[in-house]
Amino acid sequence: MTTPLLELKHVTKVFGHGEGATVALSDFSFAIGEDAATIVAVAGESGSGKSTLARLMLGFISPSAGEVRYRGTDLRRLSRAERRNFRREIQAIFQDPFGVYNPFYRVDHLLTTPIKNFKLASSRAEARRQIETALATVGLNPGEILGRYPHQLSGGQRQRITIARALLLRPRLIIADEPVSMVDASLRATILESLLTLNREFGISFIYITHDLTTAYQISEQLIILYRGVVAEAGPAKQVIRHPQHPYTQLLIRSIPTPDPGQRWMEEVVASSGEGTDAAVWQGCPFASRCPHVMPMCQEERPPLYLTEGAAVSCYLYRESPTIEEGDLTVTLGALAGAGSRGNGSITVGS
Amino acid sequence: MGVTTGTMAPALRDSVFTELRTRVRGAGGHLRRNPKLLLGLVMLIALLALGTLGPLVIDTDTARPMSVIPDQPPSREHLFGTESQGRDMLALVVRGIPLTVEIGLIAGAIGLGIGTVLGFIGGYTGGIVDTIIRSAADIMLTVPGLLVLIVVAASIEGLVSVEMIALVVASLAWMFPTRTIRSQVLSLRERPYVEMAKLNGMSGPQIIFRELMPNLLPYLGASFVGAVGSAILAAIGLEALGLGPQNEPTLGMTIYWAIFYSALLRGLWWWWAAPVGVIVILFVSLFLIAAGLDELANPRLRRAES
Amino acid sequence: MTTATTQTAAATLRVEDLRVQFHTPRGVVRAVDGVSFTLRPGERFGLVGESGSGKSTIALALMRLIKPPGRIAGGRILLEDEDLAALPEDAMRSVRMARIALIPQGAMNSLNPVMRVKQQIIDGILAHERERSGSRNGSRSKRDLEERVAELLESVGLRREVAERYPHELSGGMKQRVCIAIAIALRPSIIIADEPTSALDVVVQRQIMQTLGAVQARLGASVLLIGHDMGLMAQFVDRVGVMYGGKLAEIGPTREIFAEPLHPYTQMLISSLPSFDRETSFVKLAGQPHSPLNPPSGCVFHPRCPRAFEPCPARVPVLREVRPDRFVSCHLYDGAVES
Ligand SMILES: Nc1ncnc2c1ncn2[C@@H]1O[C@H](COP(=O)(O)OP(=O)(O)O)[C@@H](O)[C@H]1O
Ligand SMILES: Nc1ncnc2c1ncn2[C@@H]1O[C@H](COP(=O)(O)OP(=O)(O)O)[C@@H](O)[C@H]1O
Ligand code: SF4
Ligand SMILES: [Mg+2]
Ligand SMILES: [Mg+2]
Repeated sequence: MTTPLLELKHVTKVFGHGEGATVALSDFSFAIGEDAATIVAVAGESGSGKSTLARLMLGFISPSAGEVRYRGTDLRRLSRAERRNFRREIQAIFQDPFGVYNPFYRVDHLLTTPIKNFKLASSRAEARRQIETALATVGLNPGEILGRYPHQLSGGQRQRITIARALLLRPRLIIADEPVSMVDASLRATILESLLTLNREFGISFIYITHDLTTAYQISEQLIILYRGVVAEAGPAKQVIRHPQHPYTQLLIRSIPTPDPGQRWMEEVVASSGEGTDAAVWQGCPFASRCPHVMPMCQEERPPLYLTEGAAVSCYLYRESPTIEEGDLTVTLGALAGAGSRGNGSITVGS
Repeated sequence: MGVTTGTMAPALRDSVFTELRTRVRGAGGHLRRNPKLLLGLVMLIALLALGTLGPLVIDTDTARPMSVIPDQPPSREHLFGTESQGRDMLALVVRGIPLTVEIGLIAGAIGLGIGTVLGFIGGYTGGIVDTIIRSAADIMLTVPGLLVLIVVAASIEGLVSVEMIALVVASLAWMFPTRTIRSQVLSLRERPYVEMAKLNGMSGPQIIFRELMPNLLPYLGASFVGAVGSAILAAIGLEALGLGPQNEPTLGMTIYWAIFYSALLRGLWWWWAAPVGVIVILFVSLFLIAAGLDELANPRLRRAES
Repeated sequence: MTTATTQTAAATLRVEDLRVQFHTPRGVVRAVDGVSFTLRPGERFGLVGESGSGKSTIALALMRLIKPPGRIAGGRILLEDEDLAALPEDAMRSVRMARIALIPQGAMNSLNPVMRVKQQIIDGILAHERERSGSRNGSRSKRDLEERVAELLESVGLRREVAERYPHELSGGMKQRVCIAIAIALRPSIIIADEPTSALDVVVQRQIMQTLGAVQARLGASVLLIGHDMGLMAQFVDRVGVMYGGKLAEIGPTREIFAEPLHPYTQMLISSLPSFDRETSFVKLAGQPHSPLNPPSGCVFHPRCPRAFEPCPARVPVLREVRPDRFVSCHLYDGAVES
């Protein structure tokens, strides 16, 4: 296997100290190659560590334990030139399509800055051409966009500009942290379509972070479900959503209101996530306190990832299946996907 | 909005200066919606006009001792009266305004300059540097300022000049700006657009100057006005104690002489009235300007008012 | 006028031909343009539509909270035969919270960050009592109030200790519960909830909706739920009104609307719902909503409508009852009115 583009090795991130410490991400291993462009969704409720994962991958924060590696080198040890490449190749789109704009400037600022700093164009005219092409790719008319202030544009337009910005840099991987959760539902499809265009036509891989399984189903090939900083389940997106195996994934799917009158959505009572009573360190399965299938063994030790048919599941209900042991046995989810799925996103997950 | 939208090759508009020019052009509208700022500016300009244009109209030589009959109450000839050394109060005030404002400007600029540099360094870099800067500012803030100033000013040998008093005041004018600017930077640093700037390949200094600084300009403006005000106050305090420039008729020195000659006990109320009145107007105008700028910087205050 | 006013007489809230306009520098925005519907006692009614279709404006108009440059430009808001639209402001103050309460859009993020939960709830109660009884300030003892706060918190599924917390110490779901508690503090008979769960994830969303349902049942109140998620509507409300461009396109019982949507826009909304059963999963609503400043002629939906025909660009369709309890505003049903 060639060196992955970006790799997380046993990454743990703890915020705070002592009593008030929060384990935002726990022993997370994950790699994304560059042979085939893929879209990997990371889903989980708020507070499950998704943004922490994104910020670790972008080098905005450092892991408390473990390593984040770009082309084989720990982010903290990148040379100046490597760091530059890292910044260009690994890009991001954020949740808040307003906050990412400096209110002082017109939206042009967001598009000209990367061109200047990465010397992507040799002349002003070329810069303009690049910007116009990128805007057109995400379905925007440059004449309606350039020269405007962010507050003069709609949320959908603002978010598509940030996608155009990322595209300018021709990255290999874009980490999209809830890119549509603050955008109007009717505009979501347009944004997701832009992401798909970048993926299919420009060969850019995506880590698509969301709390909404519907959009994960719509655009991703692989899906990782996080619960309190731990992988609950991972596998091909369609498989995981249609046949959820982890009780938490099952809960998530059942919680989506559908037009089906037989769903009895209002009736099922679910234990709350212990909001506010944050046990910083748990011994057993983090989901045990809410799980309808909880067994004595669940309280004792954290379940490993079991390789079931079609997915990797961290739950003792599947203890008959072989475990995916750390180090020697990482599982290639692309292989799990089998026939029917396009490409083979070379992603590996371990725990 | 005055944004033209052609479909062909729009010019890319992205520089601090274009934006500033646009803002300055739009300033007229802001002023109309910001009566505090407008009133403050009008008052300040009127005072400064008195100080700068006054000498063209009245004879400021009468600000020297023994140039007029002493102890005259206000009259047609001496609008603000005269004091015991034989100086004309109006001439004194006209001479005093620019001197006092000069002290304020020098001390305020130095204080705010140091404060801005330290505040940005501390706020943006964080870590040990920040801890040192923050503690230094906090410790200095707890020291009774006037006391230090008195000690320093009293230890100056020979004649005290306007610039010297300004420097003395400046030495204690940086802590407050440091602290407030640091906390502003701390909150701006967490904005998503700062992360975006990192992704766009910007370096630390670039982020400070191109992303953070422009957004803090109105705030820095308000802080500057505040710093000038505090410096003037501190300077007047020193002068009233007799530690100011004995040869220059600053507003504070005029008060010192009024105290020295027991003006109030002797019923020479105009000796006090002239400098105190001018100082009050000066402070009200500075306060209004600072509050107006604060409103500009804080859209939240703007909304809360309506 | 053939509008939705020919409904049951026991109605709690009847909205008739409501119009709200915003006079902006660039022109007049008719944000709500002739909307009529009835909120029956104890019922759960939903208003669903894309952003900008006028849902929040209706909510604010019902509370008489439209601020300049907006104003209520016409219509009646009949609460038990009293026209709220014509009520003097001080009389309206005693209606707000006590009879109609609103959980505004984004309320959970506008809790005062420097005030304890307890104080925010008490302030709501006291402000209202002061309005009602002149300046009788100390009409309730502190103990009474605190006990009331604790009851309210427990009724929305929070522990009473939450009273002492600040908003930043609460999760999103807890903040939204506090907002519900504030809204029901005076036992209103109508609760308007404007997108109460848009910012929350699905598990918490369901808990919040269950809480809202429970609170409603206890008070015997009716709920006007505003949202854009058809799935949520399907699961929560009894009847739903579909908004498009400041007008109601269709009103009817939720089940019937999902089983057989009549208006082409409703049909489009429902067919674009994502489904986990479908293999090709990516459906987009065709077209874009029009600019609010210059709406299309005739039926506002006609430029996007797959079934538009001659009368559509020319004449404005009227909302009429085409089947029992089914109201549609579409020329396709011009001949279908049952008497
Ligand atoms: N800078 C931080 N300081 C302290 N705690 C943090 C910080 N960032 C995140 N956390 C905590 O880490 C956990 C995961 O947060 P986050 O990664 O933002 O989750 P998500 O994006 O899935 O909502 C939460 O409990 C959150 O409170
Ligand atoms: N304060 C305002 N000034 C001008 N236009 C407004 C204002 N508030 C709302 N509008 C306009 O009214 C229309 C309806 O808005 P709103 O009721 O918020 O829609 P929704 O809640 O369905 O998203 C929109 O076109 C919006 O632009
Ligand atoms: S009235 Fe015409 S345009 Fe409007 S929805 Fe009906 S068919 Fe379509
Ligand atoms: Mg997040
Ligand atoms: Mg709304």
